[in-house]
Amino acid sequence: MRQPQARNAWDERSSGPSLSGVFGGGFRDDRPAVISLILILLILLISVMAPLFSPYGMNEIDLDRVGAAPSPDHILGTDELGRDVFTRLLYGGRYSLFIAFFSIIIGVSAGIIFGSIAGYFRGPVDRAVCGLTDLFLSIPVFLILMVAASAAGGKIFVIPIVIGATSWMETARTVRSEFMRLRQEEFIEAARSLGVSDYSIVFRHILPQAVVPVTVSATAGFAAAILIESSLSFLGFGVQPPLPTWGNMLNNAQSLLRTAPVAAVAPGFLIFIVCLSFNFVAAGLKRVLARDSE
Amino acid sequence: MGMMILKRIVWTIPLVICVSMIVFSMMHLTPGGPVGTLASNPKVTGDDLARIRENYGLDRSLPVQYLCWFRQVFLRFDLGRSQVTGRSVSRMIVERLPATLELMGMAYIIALLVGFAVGVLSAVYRGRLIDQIFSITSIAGMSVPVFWTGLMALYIFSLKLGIFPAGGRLTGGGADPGRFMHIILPATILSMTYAASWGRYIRAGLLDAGKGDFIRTARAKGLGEWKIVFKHSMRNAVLPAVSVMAMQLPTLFTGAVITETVFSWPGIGRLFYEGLQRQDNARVLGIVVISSMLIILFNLAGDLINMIIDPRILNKGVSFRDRSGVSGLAVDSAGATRREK
Repeated sequence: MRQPQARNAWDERSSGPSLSGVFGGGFRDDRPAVISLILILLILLISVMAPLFSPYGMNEIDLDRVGAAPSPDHILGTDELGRDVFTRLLYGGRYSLFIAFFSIIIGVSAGIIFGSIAGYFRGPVDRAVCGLTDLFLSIPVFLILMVAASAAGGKIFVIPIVIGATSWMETARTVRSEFMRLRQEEFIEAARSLGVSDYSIVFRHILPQAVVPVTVSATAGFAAAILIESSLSFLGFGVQPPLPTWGNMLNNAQSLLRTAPVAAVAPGFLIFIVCLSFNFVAAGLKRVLARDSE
Repeated sequence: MGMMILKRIVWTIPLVICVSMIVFSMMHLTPGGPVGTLASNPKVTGDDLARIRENYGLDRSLPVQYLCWFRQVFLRFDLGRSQVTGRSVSRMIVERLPATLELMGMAYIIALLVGFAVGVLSAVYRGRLIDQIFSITSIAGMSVPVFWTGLMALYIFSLKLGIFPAGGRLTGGGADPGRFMHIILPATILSMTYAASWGRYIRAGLLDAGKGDFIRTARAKGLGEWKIVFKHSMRNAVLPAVSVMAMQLPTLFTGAVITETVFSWPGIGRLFYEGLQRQDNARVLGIVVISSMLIILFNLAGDLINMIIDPRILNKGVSFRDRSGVSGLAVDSAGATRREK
């Protein structure tokens, strides 16, 4: 029942931007961001429940209609093997979104870990982490991604690891600078003088606040991850057919541009819409956070 | 400052070595290894394979192979021979260089013009309809998959309307209009992402400069917005944008992989793509090493520009420099959003 007074005082003191605050106020008034969020959830839902909505099987072939234009049977036409484009779009969404999701999980976790280590320990540890970050910022990432994806030989679980491993730098930098800022705050000083352990300071007091700005880069990163995955798959180094992703569907559709243009329009349009939505949400979050911290 | 430049240049050596080691080991992870494609050829016998392995030194252990390659590249400045064509990799790169430079240059010019126009217009009319439209188009420009816009452009402008040729590059005679027609589509597509992000930078730079006292004075004197932007803010806003542009230049170099593939443009990006498809180690490694060096050098150039603008940077820490403009990701459009300030 009894709330420790000091705890409250700290909460008061540290009333910077908080996650609940972001989704509570402000964000709701941002119409493009809200519409985008709904759109993302809708596409996610339909993709996850793909078997319920798809009229055909993922790899079901209709030999009578190879590379066909849209018709009542196949509302978006068929691809070069006679597979239903609409069905593959739904299943492709599953793979594309999940790969992006795990890429972000990996990239953001790595970024948070590196950023926290650098920001908390400072000194030589910090310099080492910064050096690593600089190394990753100086490499031609997309070329390396292509090499890594081709070395992985299309193993689907390797793609998120590879994308995550090359996209943690921004998060690390944000978290590090938040750590640097927060550790000088009075409430951390107070905690330390009360004898709170390092562990507790990092995980209970600094980290929860340091990761708030990460939400923006993680959301925008989702769009980037989808673009990277689809680019890799489009070039033939990412997810390999017969597994569909929005990227490799476009690779196949390239040859059918003349006869079945819809097969080329649809996957790219979905990539565009989803990335646009994530970027709008990220912009909305950024605006809210910027306003809160003012 | 000279010391600092020297230090940075010396630093590039371990960086490039690290990158080349990573890529070197990854290339050897590829299923079948470097001779994978040959092994699947029925006409190639086991003896042939062993001989080829020996010729290329592939029978030795990976570290030894790396050391040999390292000695060849960094001490003798020889990128080696392509395992596919048997030709010198440096010559292959040099041959493709003009095409890539042409495409890059054109894309750069378009991105500059569009970026500046968008940036200035949205700064002058900030908060108004035109600013909002540009802000939405910028986000859209960063969200669009380049390979898809490329395909769509090909479909609409070449297949349907027949205005532009469907890819390829003309090399003959100087001012052939056909040459222009070939480049305009890929260059526009390649420039889109850059234009979108540069527009934001210039807008942000102009607005930032607009907060200065001298701008308030200018406004108090009754100067018009246009005059303020061009005579007073521009100088302060342009240089940061220029440093971002310098840093992004090498990403145009490698970022053209997708554009060059879609438009069958015979540049370095396509050379890399084909090399990777055929598991041509020497070629892939050579291009990676050269583009890493370019990225590092242009980052340095960008930092120098920043230093000229703001000498205070010299006194701050060097690490974790605010490089928010550097696109570490060379994918045509991905990543640009994340680096938006």
